[in-house]
Amino acid sequence: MSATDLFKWSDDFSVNIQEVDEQHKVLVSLLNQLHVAILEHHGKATSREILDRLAEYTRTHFMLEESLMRLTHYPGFEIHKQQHEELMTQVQTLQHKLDKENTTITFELLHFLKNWLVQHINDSDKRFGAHFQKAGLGQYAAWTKEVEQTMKKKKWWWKFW
Amino acid sequence: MRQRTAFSRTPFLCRNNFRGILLLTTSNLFLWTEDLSVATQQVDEQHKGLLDLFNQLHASISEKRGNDTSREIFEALVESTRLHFLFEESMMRLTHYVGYPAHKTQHEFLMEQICAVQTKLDNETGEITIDFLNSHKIWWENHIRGSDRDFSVHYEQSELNKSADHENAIASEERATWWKFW
Ligand SMILES: [Fe+2]
Ligand SMILES: [Fe+2]
Ligand SMILES: [Fe+2]
Repeated sequence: MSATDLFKWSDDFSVNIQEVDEQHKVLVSLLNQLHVAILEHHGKATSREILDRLAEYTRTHFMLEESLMRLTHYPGFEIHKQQHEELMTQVQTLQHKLDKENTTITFELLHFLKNWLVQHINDSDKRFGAHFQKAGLGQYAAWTKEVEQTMKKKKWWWKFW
Repeated sequence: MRQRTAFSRTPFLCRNNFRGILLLTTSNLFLWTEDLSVATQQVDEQHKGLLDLFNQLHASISEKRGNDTSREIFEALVESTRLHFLFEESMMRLTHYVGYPAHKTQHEFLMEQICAVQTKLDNETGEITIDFLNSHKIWWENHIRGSDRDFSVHYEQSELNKSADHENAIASEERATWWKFW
């Protein structure tokens, strides 16, 4: 964490499902990387790479959340899924613009992404987190020690690419 | 730096179930059979999507449709493989699966193989060979029938599965579109 962080993670953002929290942390870290790349003028190609990675990881994250919502018969599923889809459409439009037009990733955009994430976690994801507990799945709220160790020992392989 | 492809946003792949392509070639196809099925329908659908992409790639290479086409399909296969692995591993961590570290290592093995091919393609020092495709196919057959099945047994007994008795209610159009964003 550094002074130039756009988004500082704190446990206040926890939705009480560790797997989901850890994925949110990854999203936050990618957002911060993008911020640094733009602040320090690392160039168009670099920031684009990070943006694409962020988009791909977001897709994975949404897939997990939606899957858990479906499995636990979450009543807010349709609305939540729609929120996810709207964001993905916006990101795709942006990627398309970056491909075709001479636009760049702006601070304004970064703030939009950040605010979206903060709000989405605090409202929508936390609501699902509460449902997860109520569905009697509290035992899965935290990772096991073994999982924790595996995740510490090795870098996430998807970071290699 | 790896060249980005615009494939992920090409419309023709969206909501396409590739069945048409499956009918085009008959040899060396990686066909879905019931014995590949695991407990989660969503994982089954992902596996099917991967096999379809694999078959497309195989067809593209054996029919020598050109490097660009093959590369695009390859990139789509890489992305969907990564997405699939991430998803499976998430479910393993979440449901406290003790076989998780070993399973993850298997996924890493395949991703490393794939990345090696990607590097060769980038540096133009190699191409996607039939040998690679064959070993890729064998890896998947063994992995799904072995490790994925093991996890499936664990998953079936998990509280998550118990609370989800009607997972089968996923609408069919939704099942077929897990990769719809590409
Ligand atoms: Fe989320
Ligand atoms: Fe969400
Ligand atoms: Fe697997």
